[in-house]
Amino acid sequence: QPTWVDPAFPMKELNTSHYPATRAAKVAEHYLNYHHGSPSKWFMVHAIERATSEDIPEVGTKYHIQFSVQEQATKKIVENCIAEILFRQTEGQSTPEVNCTCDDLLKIKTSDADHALYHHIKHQPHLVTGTDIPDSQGNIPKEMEPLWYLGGIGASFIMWQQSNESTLYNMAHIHNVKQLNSENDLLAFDYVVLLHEMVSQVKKKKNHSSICPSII
Amino acid sequence: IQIWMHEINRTHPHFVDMFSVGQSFEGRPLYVLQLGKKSRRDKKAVWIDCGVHAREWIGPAFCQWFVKEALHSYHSDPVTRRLMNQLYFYIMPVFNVDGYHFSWTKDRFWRKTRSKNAKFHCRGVDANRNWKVKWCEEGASSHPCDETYCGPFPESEPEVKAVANFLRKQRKRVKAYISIHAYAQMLLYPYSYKYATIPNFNCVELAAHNAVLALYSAYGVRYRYGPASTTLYVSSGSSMDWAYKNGIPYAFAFELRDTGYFGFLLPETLINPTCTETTRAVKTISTSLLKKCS
Repeated sequence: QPTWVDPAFPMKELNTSHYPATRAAKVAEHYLNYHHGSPSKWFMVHAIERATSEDIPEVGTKYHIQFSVQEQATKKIVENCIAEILFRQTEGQSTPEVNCTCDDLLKIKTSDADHALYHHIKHQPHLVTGTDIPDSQGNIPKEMEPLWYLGGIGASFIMWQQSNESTLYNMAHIHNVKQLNSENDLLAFDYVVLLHEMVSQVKKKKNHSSICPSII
Repeated sequence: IQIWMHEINRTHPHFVDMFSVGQSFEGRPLYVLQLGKKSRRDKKAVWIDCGVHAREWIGPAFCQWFVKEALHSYHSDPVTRRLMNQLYFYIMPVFNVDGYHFSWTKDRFWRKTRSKNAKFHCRGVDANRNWKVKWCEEGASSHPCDETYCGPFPESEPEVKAVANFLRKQRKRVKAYISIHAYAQMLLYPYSYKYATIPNFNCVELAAHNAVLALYSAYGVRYRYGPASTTLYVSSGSSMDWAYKNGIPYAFAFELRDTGYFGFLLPETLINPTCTETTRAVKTISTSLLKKCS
């Protein structure tokens, strides 16, 4: 349970509309998607209820965020998410440390859809590929949606790692995805994605591989 | 879009006037539509520009939508009628025509203009960092290859210079400046370049609050609102800050849908709801102009 009041270090109440809270919440979003996302489950921050931060001398800044998320495929809103995000003050970039739980996260059941996808891909005669997802007009063929989500999960890991108090990352585009050969039960994919960083407005091309296990 | 503008101009002679404020770097005309019941020349005015950043396609779509909506609902909606009678709207559907064209033909994620640089092979200036207000300080880059490149000097971009000239000339009449961007779902007001409260904070904050409420009333979509520097990020040389400094009391920048799921690649199905809700917000801001506020 995160502590709300630590007498040693003063807590600063943050405006939930301002960027310190929204950037920290975005990091929690990436964390959630990496740990709990699936080819049929994708979370976006819905509303920030409360946010505080504390400066820990010699260590960094720790944020406490109370927020809700919306699952994008089902449009279900999951309330009562609590996250602690620690941005360490280091020379270069260091991955923010995150603790995040939502009350009813596990109530969104996607194992059937995910299993069905696994078997569908496993039994394809050819290795699955895709390019330009979404296309310029924002279209995604229905059969590409799970690969879009899967790419997002991999991208979430990278975006989580790359985040700090001066960044806000989103995955902008999947340039291409290629299923890799694998001898065992795992499905493996190679992605080239475009990440958009809001503060610098930079777009970064990143490579990542996603592994889809047989049992989720 | 140009063909559509010509058609709108041709079919609504009592409400629309199409003119050009100048030429883009690549020689394209910079078209603006004057929208409103033609009567006295000295009516108060609202300026709305879309497509300052090329990849933000929902912007030009919104500008077109707003014009269509205003003309279609003049007879049926008393609020529209009042606004069209008492104000002129100057709508610039595509501010950065060269960049927009480039994003359709070569690079979907292009942001800047397409001006050539003397020393580097990189092209383009961030048209929202090129205005003469604290130019090229924090939140802008002096490197030509960067996305937030401020340009070699303020108003170096012909598009920026053309609009600045128009707004300078019309400063007595223009009472609101609205720039449409994407994405983040925010309604921003000055300052972008510093953390400080504007003198007419109470009036602007109230207008923003009501606008966001009106927007929410359409489909329940939440927008954050506040000064740009604290809500989004610090940036210098922005059109919104320049407009405010130039004497326009209500200066806003919208960041439309969404918050990163589709990002710049907002699908066609979301154009209608985004434009519908944003129209409510813009109408609310425009209505605020007609009320006294100190």
